Amino acid sequence: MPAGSPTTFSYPVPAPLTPWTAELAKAIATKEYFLYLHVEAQFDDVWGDKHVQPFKLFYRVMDKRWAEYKDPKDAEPTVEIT
Amino acid sequence: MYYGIVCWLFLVPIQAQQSENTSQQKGSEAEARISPPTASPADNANVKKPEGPIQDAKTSEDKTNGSGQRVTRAEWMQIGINGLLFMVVLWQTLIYIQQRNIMRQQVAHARITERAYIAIQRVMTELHTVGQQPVVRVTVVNGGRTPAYVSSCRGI
Repeated sequence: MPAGSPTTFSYPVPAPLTPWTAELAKAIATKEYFLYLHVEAQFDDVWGDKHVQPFKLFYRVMDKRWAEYKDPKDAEPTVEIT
Repeated sequence: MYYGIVCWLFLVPIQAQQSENTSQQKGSEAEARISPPTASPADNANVKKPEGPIQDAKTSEDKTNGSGQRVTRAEWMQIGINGLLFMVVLWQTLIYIQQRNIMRQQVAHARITERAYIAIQRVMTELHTVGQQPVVRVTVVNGGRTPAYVSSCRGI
């Protein structure tokens, strides 16, 4: 990746969006839910050093805004998929 | 016949004497060329002895040669010059050491400033409807000043 040039990576969700509770179906319908994204970029620089850059973002669907969060334990809810 | 023999007997000593004279004259001329004409003892008394560094060097050399352990002025000068050269070499060595440290710091700074910095420029989502697979598109930009060899950019 040259300096200053962007590259786009696509991450499709492996499963279709399926609400398994009535509350979640309502949240999807009203767009009052968050989407959390954890990305880890691994790259080597010209000096030969390996770097691992993690990114932790959350997406608010209602206003279509991405933001970075620092403490995932406080912000990220635990969802169990059955 | 008799007259011829007598003449020959007289001629041989005359020729030998002449040859001796000529050789002596040549020798005296050669000596005159090599050495200056010698002066009489009275003249030597009036001639002043030369003074100056040549005379001093000669006397000091004589003193050194005589004792064998004293250091002459020329040797002191050589020792001083060598000491100065040693100081100059030592000074240059210190400068090189400082230059090496500065270059190490420059390399350390260059490793920080000239490296690649990966950041997320934009995130887009699609297909947020029930029954479809949402897609998240993350645009990563290299904000550094050197290229980055991205091995993987995956979700965790």
